[in-house]
Amino acid sequence: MLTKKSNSVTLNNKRLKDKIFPYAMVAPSVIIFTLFAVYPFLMGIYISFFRWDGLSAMQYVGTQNYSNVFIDSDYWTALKHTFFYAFFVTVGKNVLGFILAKLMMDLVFAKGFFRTITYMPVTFSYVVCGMLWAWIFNPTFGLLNNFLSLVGADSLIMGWLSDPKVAIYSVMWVDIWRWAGFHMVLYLAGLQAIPKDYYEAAEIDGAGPVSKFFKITIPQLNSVIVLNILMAVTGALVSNYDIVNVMTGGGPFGSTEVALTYIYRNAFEFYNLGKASAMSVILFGLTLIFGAIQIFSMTRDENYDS
Amino acid sequence: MLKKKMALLLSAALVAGAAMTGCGGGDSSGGDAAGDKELTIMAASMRLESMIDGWNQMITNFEDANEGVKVNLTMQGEWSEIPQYLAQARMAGQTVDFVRTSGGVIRSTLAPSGALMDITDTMAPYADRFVEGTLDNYTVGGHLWGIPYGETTTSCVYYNKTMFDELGLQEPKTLDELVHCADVIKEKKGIKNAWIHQGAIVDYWQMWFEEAYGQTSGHESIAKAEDWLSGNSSFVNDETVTAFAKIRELFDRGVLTSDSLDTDDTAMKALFAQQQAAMFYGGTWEYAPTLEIVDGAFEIGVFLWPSLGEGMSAQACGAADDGFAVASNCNKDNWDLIAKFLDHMTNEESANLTLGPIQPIIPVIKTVPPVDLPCAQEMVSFMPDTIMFLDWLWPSEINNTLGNQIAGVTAGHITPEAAAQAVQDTYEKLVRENDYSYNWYDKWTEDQWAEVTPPAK
Amino acid sequence: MNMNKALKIVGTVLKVVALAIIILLTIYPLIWMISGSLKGTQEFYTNIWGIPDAWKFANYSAAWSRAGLGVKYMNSLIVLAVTLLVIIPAVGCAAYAIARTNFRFKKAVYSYLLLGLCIPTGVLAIPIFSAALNFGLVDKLSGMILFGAAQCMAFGTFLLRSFFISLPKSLEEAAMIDGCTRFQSFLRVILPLAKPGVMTLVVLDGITVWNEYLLASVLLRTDAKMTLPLGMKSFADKYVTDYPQLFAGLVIVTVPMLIIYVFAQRSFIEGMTAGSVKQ
Repeated sequence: MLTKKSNSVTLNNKRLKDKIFPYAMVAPSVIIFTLFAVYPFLMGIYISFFRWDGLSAMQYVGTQNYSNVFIDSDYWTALKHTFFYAFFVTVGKNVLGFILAKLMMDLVFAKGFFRTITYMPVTFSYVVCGMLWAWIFNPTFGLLNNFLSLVGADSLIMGWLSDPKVAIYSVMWVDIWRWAGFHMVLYLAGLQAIPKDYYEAAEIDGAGPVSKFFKITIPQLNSVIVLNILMAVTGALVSNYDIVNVMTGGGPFGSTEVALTYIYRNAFEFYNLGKASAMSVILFGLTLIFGAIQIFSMTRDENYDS
Repeated sequence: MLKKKMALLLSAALVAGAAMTGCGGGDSSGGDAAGDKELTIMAASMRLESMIDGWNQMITNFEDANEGVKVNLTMQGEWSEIPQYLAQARMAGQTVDFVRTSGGVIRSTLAPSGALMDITDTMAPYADRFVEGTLDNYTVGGHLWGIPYGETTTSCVYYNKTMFDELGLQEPKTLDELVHCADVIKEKKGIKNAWIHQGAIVDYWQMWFEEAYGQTSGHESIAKAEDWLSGNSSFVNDETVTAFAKIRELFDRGVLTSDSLDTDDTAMKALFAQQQAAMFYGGTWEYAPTLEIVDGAFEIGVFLWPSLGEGMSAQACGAADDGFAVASNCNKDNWDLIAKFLDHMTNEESANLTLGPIQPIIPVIKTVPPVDLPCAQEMVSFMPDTIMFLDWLWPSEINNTLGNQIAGVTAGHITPEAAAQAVQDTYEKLVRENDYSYNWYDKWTEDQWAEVTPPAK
Repeated sequence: MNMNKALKIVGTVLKVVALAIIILLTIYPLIWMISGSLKGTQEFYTNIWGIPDAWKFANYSAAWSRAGLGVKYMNSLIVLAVTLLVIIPAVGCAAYAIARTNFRFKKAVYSYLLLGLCIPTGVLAIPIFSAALNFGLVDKLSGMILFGAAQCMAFGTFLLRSFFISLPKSLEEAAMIDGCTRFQSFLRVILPLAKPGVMTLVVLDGITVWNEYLLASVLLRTDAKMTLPLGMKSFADKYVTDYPQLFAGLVIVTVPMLIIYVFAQRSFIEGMTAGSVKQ
């Protein structure tokens, strides 16, 4: 029925349909994205030109919110923390995810079991993760310090969340712990897809483990690596609020304040919606520069088919 | 083919649907038609089921007594989210008659934004139902912006009385005595923190500052803070710097350790219950939960902060908390009914229903019986030395900076002078960026006042 | 040779230690959460790391009724299911068009969608509310679904595009020679091969949607419409949190997801392996 119909259409008609086809395919995504993500964001940009607490009348202030943000050292410190955090968390999640995937590959027993449990933390709620780790890090009854003193490593005991120099790393660790299993699954899938004969051929050519890793594994995993890094980077830049908030709330002494916790504070504690919006716009711009440029440069080798 | 058409149709439907619904925006606003007998209360989630039952019963009683009246009580989220919910209701053009949130939010956020009605005259006939002085907490610029509808709180140091007795220690009256107690406890009990503080929570540092500043300012902290907030003086002065320095001294002399910096209320109570710490500081609201957690394992005692120096004496902080206010987007045509409800909810029967379940140590409404707990009487005796929370006076930006700075001072990252300067900087930033004005009520226009003034009878 | 053997033994020991740490870091939190939900208040604070002395199953029924989890469960399931049903087809079509066809605005459309990765959606509470107001989506599950889906578009398109682009072109050419239209070849040949990508999206977006608090607190107002994360606020007031009951609530919310995802993950790995075999 269908075939018969499409046979009967004229060549011109078919060309037209081929032309429309891609647009019809992208339309639903573009429409939903525009109406429910871009439109609110544009409204956020609009608000950034006003002084507004959400309750009293909006007051147009031009670019004053932006100039206020530019001289607000707290925000720039928070941004510095954000990029610092994003860098280490991205490296941590990927390195750990990859090592775990390698470990799983070599496993001869209980593969499914280990794969499954490693993956579990990502489904735990932030409340549970936050409280669990805050208590593990607790200086008095925490498991970590008690363990360290048990094995005689007293010099390693520290205020995991109370020392401003250490706290941000503790928060990063919890983020890494929660997501490493997820990245592992992606790497595992990628590793399993590399044909074995590539390695065998390399071995015949006398390649050692290191050269096999750099000449075969890494290039073959390219798209998986891009995916993993993208996920980790954007996650750390624009959605690390929950984990930081539940662990430290930005403290101690502002040492774990990231852009998002600071923006939230301005919006929902200080009711300074205009300034919070201006900061969101700036964060968006910076993420665009640091995130998107990196993504495009990493994916430019892939060819569009014609 | 078909599927492709469906994809096209789907996208067309989406556009059309969005366009259609776009026209019907704001259709969810609740009864603002004249004569509509409906009241709406916006409240944060309540934890105690007995309290929810009490509220529902109080509301049912009101509905029974006033035929054709419906009272909607919505409970959602945290108390600190109420301004956001109220803002959204106003954007949607919805009527909200009452809000239930913290008194601090009422004083420093909602009232200055013009989001609340001035209920000075409306509440005047019922003022004598409230414990003396409690309405003052809700009075700003001579106008009443809400009523206390919970319990009055104060603050103190809780301690493990059984342990103190066993070690032959007395309640410390001076800093030296406190240091002595801490030394004995740490040595004899082999624990690290004689006193543990919930320093992961900014508000409790603010309270510490208030305790210390109350002492260093000679019990003049409220007046001096008002003077500062009005722009007449600087926050950097001997008294504030000494207050920071005194708090740091508690750490330097080993009463507390940096463990307190990342300890929250839960971990703090856990340590106290496990007898890993012998003292903690908190409000009267900590007492009942702590009793439950300790569960009779040892006896709990309370004392006020010891004197921090020559000629200084304790001054605790607290307030008549859990506020209830009339929103300025209420249905003003129903003002008689709103006034009637305020009368109803504060009468003896209603107050017992809604506030009885809190088991207040210090009630705000005279007819609610206080709870009989071992230390309750002693806490009541702290009331004359209690002043209102300073964060009910100043905006949350100040609070946030203050809390962060104390953490920095105690850990030795910054000097007390630098901490005071940081608070002053935050104040200047507020004035510069937000036109902050402590006497906001003096700057209101007539239109603004008209918006929050109840209609004449 | 001996050296090699020693290295091998050390390697094995390290692996066993690593596996033991993995078990500790993943199974124990689960046990901790569940045992926390079965403790009394006093025990929760004093027996922090152990399993409960007396198992208080009553915490579960109390949590269920206090937070009204029945209705919220239904709402959360509806939002989860429909959101995924919106995201997957929409993103699948867009990603396919971007990966496999040529059209004038391809790069522009792709770049536009990728902008979504950089929008810090969480902080847009008030703008989202006012947009919802314009669309008449306040206090409606459809609002949760559409705003939730929009936040997932960018990453979904990126992910599926990278899957489609890696599949050999010969597959769909063969299908089209067999008389399939472009859309049919996408649906019957390409999409099944991208199953691992789809599963990854289901997992990732599913977790986000299931735990979405901010959007729910912004959009939902009446009890009949509320989702599970809002219910988790019923266990606390300004000063006190009822932790055992909160944990019971969190177990009720988490464990079904956990089970679903364990299965999803299995088919994800298998799908991926199957895909590579065909290559």
